[in-house]
Amino acid sequence: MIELFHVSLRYPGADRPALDDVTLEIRKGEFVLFAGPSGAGKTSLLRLLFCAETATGGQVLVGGRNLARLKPTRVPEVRRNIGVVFQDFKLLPEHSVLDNVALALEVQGRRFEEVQERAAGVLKQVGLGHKLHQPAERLSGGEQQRVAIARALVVEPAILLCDEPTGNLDAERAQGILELLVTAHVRGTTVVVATHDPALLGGSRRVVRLEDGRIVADVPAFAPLPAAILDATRRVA
Amino acid sequence: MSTVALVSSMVRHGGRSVRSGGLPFFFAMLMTALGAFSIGSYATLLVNFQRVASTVGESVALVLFLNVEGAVAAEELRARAALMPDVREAALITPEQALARARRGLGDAGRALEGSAGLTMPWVIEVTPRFDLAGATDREALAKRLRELPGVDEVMHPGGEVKRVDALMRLLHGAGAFLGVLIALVVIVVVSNATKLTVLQRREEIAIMKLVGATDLFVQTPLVLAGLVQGVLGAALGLVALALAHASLASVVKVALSGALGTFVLEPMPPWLWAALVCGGAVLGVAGAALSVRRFLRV
Ligand SMILES: Nc1ncnc2c1ncn2[C@@H]1O[C@H](COP(=O)(O)OP(=O)(O)OP(=O)(O)O)[C@@H](O)[C@H]1O
Ligand SMILES: [Mg+2]
Repeated sequence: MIELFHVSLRYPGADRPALDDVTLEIRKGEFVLFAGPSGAGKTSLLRLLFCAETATGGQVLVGGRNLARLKPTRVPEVRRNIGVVFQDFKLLPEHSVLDNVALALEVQGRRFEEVQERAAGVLKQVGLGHKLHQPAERLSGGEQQRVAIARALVVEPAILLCDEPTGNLDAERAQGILELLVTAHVRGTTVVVATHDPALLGGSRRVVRLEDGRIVADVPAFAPLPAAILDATRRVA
Repeated sequence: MSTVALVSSMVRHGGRSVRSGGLPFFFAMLMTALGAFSIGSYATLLVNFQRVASTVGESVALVLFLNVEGAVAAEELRARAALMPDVREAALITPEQALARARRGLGDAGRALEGSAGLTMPWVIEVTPRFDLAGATDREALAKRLRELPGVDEVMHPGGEVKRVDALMRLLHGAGAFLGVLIALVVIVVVSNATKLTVLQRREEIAIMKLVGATDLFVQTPLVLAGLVQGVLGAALGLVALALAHASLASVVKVALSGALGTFVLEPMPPWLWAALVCGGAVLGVAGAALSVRRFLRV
């Protein structure tokens, strides 16, 4: 589903690469966590996958497509198969919760009735059925987080990318978000989550640990997490 | 995925653009209205001036003196002249009528001609040239062609004043075209700046739309549609103002100018010009918006 071969990414003007020789394969239906300290390159890695950045070296394949050779006009096609939950949500503050979620379907040319119905349905699933018509700017951080997740899920993407989805939430709310992600995973979605949140680690999830733009550990699901990873993550968090 | 749904989505977003357009949008609309009003006023004046000028132009006929004998030959020549392009009408005047006119024209002195049986006038044809919308007919050329008809002795044409009217009409048409182009440019610049402001104002929103998979077309079309609406509404507004101005001015002008020139009616522009100005507004709105959208949407 997602393959990276010796990928590097250097932002213009940066003295060191944000990603350095990253090789990684994520299979269909996997649930993968990118862990690592701040500045490790987690967000950068996710951005490569939905064409927000172009690798300066190596190859990135998503769903069999080589993103380096993708024509700009093909980018929307790739993005429609990927739901993204951004670290800063990227909601339209003045638009209603429903409009925010509907947008992802509208740009695909879905019928108005279908758009409204599906957007409202997903918002109910994330527990915001009672706030459909509120402007997004009047929601709490946790609620905005859930709107962002609803917008990512409403298109029923093959891949769900989440950047710090439990960012500034308390443990209970974070657990709620995790459940949403697990539900998507159970339905067959490939889920990739960048996080420092130790609450998300453990369980039956693969953890890829990044440091200074390099993969320093890749622990498969069902294997017990080495104490070093847990400790390091706790320290950062 | 359906095109109808996609288009209706884009229209809805366009509506949102219009509603959230704010001051720049309103300003662009006002400028378009002003442009349509100015061009419309000028065109109205031109139409009426042209009408007056054409009555002057047409009343000045070319006079052909023939050297034929007999009504049949003269009538044949009249028919030939009438069929020539640029000729609106050709009227035959018999020698008797010509004599009568000459007498009337001379007044008291004309009485001296009475009974002078020896005086014979030639057959005469009066040719009224066409004075069409594109400008006066070139009388010199017409006179030359008429002179070449066999049986035509002499052609009299009072060219001077007609030429002057002709030149003035050309000048007015030219000035109108220049004014039109100038206004069109101003409107394009204003609309394109309004669109630029909208794009800058909604930069975040546009970026988000693209991140969730919107094509450039999906982002651009609503903005161009907003330009279209702004252009059409602006032009319509300007033309409504023009119609109102015309209605209130027409009666005043009628009273002021009637008498000297018969009844003078301030005619409105022909219908096609009204339609053309609305279309022009639409085209300028779309062009202005498209210009900005193409240059500033590289998010
Ligand atoms: N747009 C940018 N221009 C230049 N440098 C950047 C840009 N974005 C990120 N970087 C740099 O790239 C490196 C990796 O950043 P990235 O955002 O991927 O880290 P991260 O692991 O997501 O961190 P965090 O946990 O704080 O979100 C950092 O050194 C950062 O300063
Ligand atoms: Mg990050």
